[in-house]
Amino acid sequence: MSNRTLPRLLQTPAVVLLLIWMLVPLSMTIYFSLIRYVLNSLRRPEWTTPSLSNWRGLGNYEYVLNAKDFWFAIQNSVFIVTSILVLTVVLGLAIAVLVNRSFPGRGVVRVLLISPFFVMPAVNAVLWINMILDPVLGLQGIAVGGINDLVNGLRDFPVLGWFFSLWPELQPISFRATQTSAYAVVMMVTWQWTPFAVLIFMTSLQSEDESQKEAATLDGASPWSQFINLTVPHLARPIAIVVMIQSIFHLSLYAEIEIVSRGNGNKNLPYLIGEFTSNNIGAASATGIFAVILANIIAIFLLRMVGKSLMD
Amino acid sequence: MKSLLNSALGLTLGVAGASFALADGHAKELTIAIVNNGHMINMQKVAEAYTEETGVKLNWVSLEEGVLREQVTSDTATGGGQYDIINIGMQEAPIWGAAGWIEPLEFGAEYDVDDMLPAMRNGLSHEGTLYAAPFYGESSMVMYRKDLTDAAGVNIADNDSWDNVKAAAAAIHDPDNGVYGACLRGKPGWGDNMAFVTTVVNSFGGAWFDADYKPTLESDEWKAAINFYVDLLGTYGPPGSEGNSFNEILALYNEGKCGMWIDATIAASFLEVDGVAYAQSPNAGNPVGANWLWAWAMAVPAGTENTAEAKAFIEWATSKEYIKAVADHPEFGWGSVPTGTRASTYAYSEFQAAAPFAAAEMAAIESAAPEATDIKPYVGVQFAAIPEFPEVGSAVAQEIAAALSGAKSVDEALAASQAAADAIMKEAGYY
Repeated sequence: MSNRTLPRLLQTPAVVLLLIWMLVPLSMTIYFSLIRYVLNSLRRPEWTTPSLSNWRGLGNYEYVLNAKDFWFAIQNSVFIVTSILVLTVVLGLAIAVLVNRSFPGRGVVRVLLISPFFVMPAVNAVLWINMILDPVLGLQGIAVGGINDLVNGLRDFPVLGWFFSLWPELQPISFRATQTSAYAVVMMVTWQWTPFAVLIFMTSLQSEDESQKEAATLDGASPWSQFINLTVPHLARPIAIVVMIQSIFHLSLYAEIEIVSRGNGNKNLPYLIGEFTSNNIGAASATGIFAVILANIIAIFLLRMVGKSLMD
Repeated sequence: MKSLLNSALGLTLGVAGASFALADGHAKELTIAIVNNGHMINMQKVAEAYTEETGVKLNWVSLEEGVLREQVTSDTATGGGQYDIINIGMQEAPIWGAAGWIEPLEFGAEYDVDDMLPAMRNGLSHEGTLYAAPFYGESSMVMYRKDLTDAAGVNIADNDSWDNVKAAAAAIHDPDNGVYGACLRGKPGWGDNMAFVTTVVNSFGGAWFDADYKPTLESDEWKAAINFYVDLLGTYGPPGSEGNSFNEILALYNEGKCGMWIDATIAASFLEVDGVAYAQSPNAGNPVGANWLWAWAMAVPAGTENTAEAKAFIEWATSKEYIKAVADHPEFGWGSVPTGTRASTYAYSEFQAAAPFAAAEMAAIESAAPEATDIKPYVGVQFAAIPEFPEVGSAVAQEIAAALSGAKSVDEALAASQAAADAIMKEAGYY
């Protein structure tokens, strides 16, 4: 027995289990995507049992490619994910640097900052869309109504009134509309995930070399140039990790999209799969394969990026 | 280490033993998937008496409508057997019965199946066999604020014309004081905005499919109906209507924000504002009318092992005794009984006193005709009872919401709807 055989043997069960874990669902999805398979059909009952006699080749893929919102869903996935990434990284950096100083009540502030991350996604969406963004009964509606009333009242004053009479009446924005629903999702997910970025950045800021900073201060470097030249490079690795983990999670957003607008003006590939699964499993599987491909393309870029920053 | 292993082994054996005992014992358990509507939630309390009487333990899984549909569909289609009783709607019952996913239901003479409202019975049957027993049923009607219409000097009649309804909405529309003329469903979903929109289309004489099951969404009737709907709701509706469905509008109505609401008759039992009056749904001249017909019914999936117990529970839960049990329950009363299923419910004078909407509801249900007609080849009023409808309905629903948001013109939205529906129907092998 060579000295490599034993470790390999010991690894085998885990590797085999992982392979089964991944390969069985994947190959079933590929199989379903190549045949006609629907849950229920009055016209073609033979399609309701998966079998090779319902072979369809690439027909499901063609159907999905031509489906109403396929390209829109891909574009929108990329839009949502990149917006959330940029916003959470920028906000996360700013907040992490701010709370890194010591000030009274720092512990409480940190706990409060992290708490949005522990809200369930569906609850987060319901809370935002109904209580904050609703144009009539939500905070937004009440605020817009309040400002309008205030401006109306001020119009009666002699000189000030002329100035305020130029003000337009504010209209509340519906965040469930086709034009705005994607922004609502970006907003609520950013609120939820910024704490995650803050958490990661905060822990790695604590390992920043203070003597380096002192030297920079002695050399007369401004706080901004310290931030750009010392802190940001120091955080390159955590940023890469935040970006990677978040992309994995946000490519599969579902609850928020469902609750905000039911796919009106805002869709991604998982949502499209959900729409097909009401009956057409073949098309749903084909969409799933497209989603796997998209995720892999993004993963290759990310792994290169992260790999690079981890090698340095 | 050894003692740990032993205790782990003991635990596993113990658990296995326990589950074995459960499956073997005569204390039967039923798992029931229900939609989280008021009447179904109440049933959990009323059914405590059933457990005491029969010893059958009931496990409730209460889910939101869309989630329930997804869960129950995949469980039933694959014969999963996770649930013994499922809540399904009128869209599913006939096609699931035809597919053999759910058991046919036959009850004893005491159940008095002829007491069931004929529209309900027809809608839940396939080729004359009942596949799901209605727990509560509904149609749609106009619920308007009589105080506001009186003040504005307008009137809404039964089966009024849409033009009159729009004029009335305009007269009571007063957004500066937080009152919107008409609150209607706009949230995309085949059971949400399309339920209402389809009744408007029906009243204009349109239908989802022609005799060959080709979608007819670019017909003149659809164009007229959608233009009317977008105009009415866009002009006199509250902002954010594209996100409103039953629950959202109910909240607005009870805050006093709505002058008029056309929706499920069941809403009447939840209205808390004063001065509400009822009228039969408006109509643009089609004899079939503009009322919808819906029931939440209980069915037994073919995959369950407890078929007999499940049928016995359904027989109890949809019986006349159940209605009495809710009425006599200390926490509920005649105002909370599930309506729309049995003629006998409406005969109780206590019920008529507790539910001022009873007469309007009964009339609305009786006038709704789910059967196939010359205009439409499918069963169903505000939906088509075919397996592909949820997919078609959801795709069209998003386009209608886009038209309401102003992101698309009505013609663009209908053209996109037609293309999507056509692709889905072709894919399903209809032509």
